[in-house]
Amino acid sequence: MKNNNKLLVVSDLTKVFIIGGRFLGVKLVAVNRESFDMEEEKPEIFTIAGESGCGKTTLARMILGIIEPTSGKIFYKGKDITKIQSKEDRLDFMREVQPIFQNPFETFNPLKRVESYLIETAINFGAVKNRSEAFDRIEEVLQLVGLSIKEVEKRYPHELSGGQLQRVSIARALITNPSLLVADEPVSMVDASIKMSVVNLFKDLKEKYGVSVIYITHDLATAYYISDRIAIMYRGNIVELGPVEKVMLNPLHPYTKLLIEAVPEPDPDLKWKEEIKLSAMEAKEFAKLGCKFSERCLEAKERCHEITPEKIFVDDRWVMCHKYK
Amino acid sequence: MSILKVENLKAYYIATLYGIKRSVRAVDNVSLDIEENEIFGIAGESGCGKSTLLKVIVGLIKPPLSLIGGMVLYNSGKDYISPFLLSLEEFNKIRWSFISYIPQGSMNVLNPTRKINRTFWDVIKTHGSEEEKKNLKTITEEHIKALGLPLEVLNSYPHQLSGGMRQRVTMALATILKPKIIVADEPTTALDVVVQRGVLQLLERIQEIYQNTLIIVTHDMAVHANIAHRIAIMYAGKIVEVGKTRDIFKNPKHPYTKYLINSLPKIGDKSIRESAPGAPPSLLNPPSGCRFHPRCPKVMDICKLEVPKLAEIDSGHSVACFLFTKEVEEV
Ligand SMILES: Nc1ncnc2c1ncn2[C@@H]1O[C@H](COP(=O)(O)OP(=O)(O)OP(=O)(O)O)[C@@H](O)[C@H]1O
Ligand SMILES: Nc1ncnc2c1ncn2[C@@H]1O[C@H](COP(=O)(O)OP(=O)(O)OP(=O)(O)O)[C@@H](O)[C@H]1O
Ligand code: SF4
Ligand code: SF4
Ligand SMILES: [Mg+2]
Ligand SMILES: [Mg+2]
Repeated sequence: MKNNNKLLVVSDLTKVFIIGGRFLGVKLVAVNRESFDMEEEKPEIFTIAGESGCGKTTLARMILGIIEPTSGKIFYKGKDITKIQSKEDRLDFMREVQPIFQNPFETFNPLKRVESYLIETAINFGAVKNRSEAFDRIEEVLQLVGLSIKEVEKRYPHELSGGQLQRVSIARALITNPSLLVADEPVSMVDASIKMSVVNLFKDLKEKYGVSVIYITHDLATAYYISDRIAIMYRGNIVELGPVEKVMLNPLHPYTKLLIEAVPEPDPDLKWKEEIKLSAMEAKEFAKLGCKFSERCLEAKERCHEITPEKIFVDDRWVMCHKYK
Repeated sequence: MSILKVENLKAYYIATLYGIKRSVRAVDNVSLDIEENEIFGIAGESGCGKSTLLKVIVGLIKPPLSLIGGMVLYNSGKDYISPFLLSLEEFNKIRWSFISYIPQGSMNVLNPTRKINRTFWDVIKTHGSEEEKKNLKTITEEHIKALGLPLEVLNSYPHQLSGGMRQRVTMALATILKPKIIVADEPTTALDVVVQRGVLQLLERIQEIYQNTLIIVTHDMAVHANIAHRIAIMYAGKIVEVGKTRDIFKNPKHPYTKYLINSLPKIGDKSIRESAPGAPPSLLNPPSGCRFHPRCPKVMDICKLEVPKLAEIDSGHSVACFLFTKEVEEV
């Protein structure tokens, strides 16, 4: 495989969870042999969206090295991260790839003042040599997110608002000059105004500082607004992947269509009309033969229930559906 | 007829740090009148006090949260009762059967070791009438059927259900005793839009079947646009605007509401969206006068000194802003 010039290569990645006991338990394939990659030279915002429980967080945690894949490989700048052995190499990797989580309150230690936590992070990562350098670095990253040390000084996490704290957690992630941010639902708990300030920040980081972002979200309007490419997941698989305009304005996969149609409009004149059908037993769907969406798909044919569809390249994007064969 | 009245409610979080007493003024002089048989939405910035307001409305006041003043009244049909004046025993009687509360992040509250039907029966046994207790099995099944959920969920454990199904089961559970008021805090946050739509459809269906009142809190304006009849906008512990959903979206008055409506991005539109300038206010030490004044593009001198009172400016449309009213709130 050619991994040159790739920032990230995810190859045939699988994660299996056993739920309900080791012997009687059922296998749940949370991520099913998935692959995608990101270019090193061309920073981008890559969105992963899809059904609740389809495996987005699991995928992100494997990329961050928090959980181990069951099989498959992840290369970061050509290095297989599942094979990192030495502490030094691990620290190197952690400097380059930084997480941002959904709940900023969980990122911080509630008993530590925000600025001392930031200083420690800077020192622990070896991003700076001493406290005074740390101070400068922190002022720098806080400025990037539109804050300053003055505003967070002597404050505990609960004394900042959710939006401020989420910005601080992005600042924390920037201390080490990372090339890739992995943001798992960074704006799902905040209101529209904070949401826009966070996603505008991602845009700036990409455009001005060349940082790439994996943006996991249920908020498709912000996904459209900031991303270059988008991957739509359903039950462990990426069912459609391509440029955001293509996928969102002209979706091909029946699940993508359903998802885009369900996006609520913030306009009382454009309310939903028809009822929507949801699946009842998720675990069963994960284990289903054939296309996992076939029970709910209005366009399902016989083969859909038996044969797993392959990924096909149509109109600039990959689609995993028999219809396009 | 109003089913719930909130009058000059004040509830603060009081904490002592290094011997200094500090209070977070999360709900600060809030008054609301909520009608029977309506879906009432509450929107507002993260941390503005929405969840706190709901907790006080359902009578769940535990330290560090404390009630500073004001009243909450339920209209029981015969007379007004207040959750603040009931004994624990009396309160337990009306919880679930008169008012039911679905807290933020509630899909994780189902007991993982009990099958779903057991959880339903437990609620009926503790809070139901004698009649209901006798028929707990049929009541549960009929309720699940009426809401259009598959009966097989009753025989499942929570972990066998998807997040979206767990959330819908929580709603079904909250309404098993047909309460007059259902209070739901961010019931669809962090769900995908398809599942979100399913959950909201269920809420609408419940409201239609039982003709009860639904109070729904979320910062997601699109959710309000789709299901609320009326909306209250909260900013820094206060209600700054209340009106019919259409009026709030099509004719917002308060400068903060305008920001809220106009900052929403749309699919198919990549034009730059600005967020409201400045930072959200601290509730430990809120700005003087109108709490929005440090961020308001229309700020006037009076705004820094006096607190504008929520006043009706059009039929059913109230605003707390000196651009529209001269009325001043007494502090
Ligand atoms: N540690 C675990 N053990 C067992 N099952 C798990 C574990 N973590 C996740 N799962 C299951 O794997 C599936 C994928 O979960 P994951 O959290 O990756 O979904 P997600 O796409 O992030 O969902 P959401 O949109 O709700 O955040 C789910 O069915 C989940 O229940
Ligand atoms: N236990 C507590 N002690 C001190 N302050 C608290 C406590 N709980 C909440 N607060 C503060 O009270 C204010 C209101 O919180 P609340 O949870 O009601 O906000 P919210 O509008 O529901 O926010 P969100 O949209 O994030 O759910 C916030 O500033 C919060 O930091
Ligand atoms: S493979 Fe068949 S069932 Fe699956 S999405 Fe395509 S048409 Fe529908
Ligand atoms: S009262 Fe004054 S500061 Fe407050 S919203 Fe109205 S104009 Fe702006
Ligand atoms: Mg997740
Ligand atoms: Mg809340």
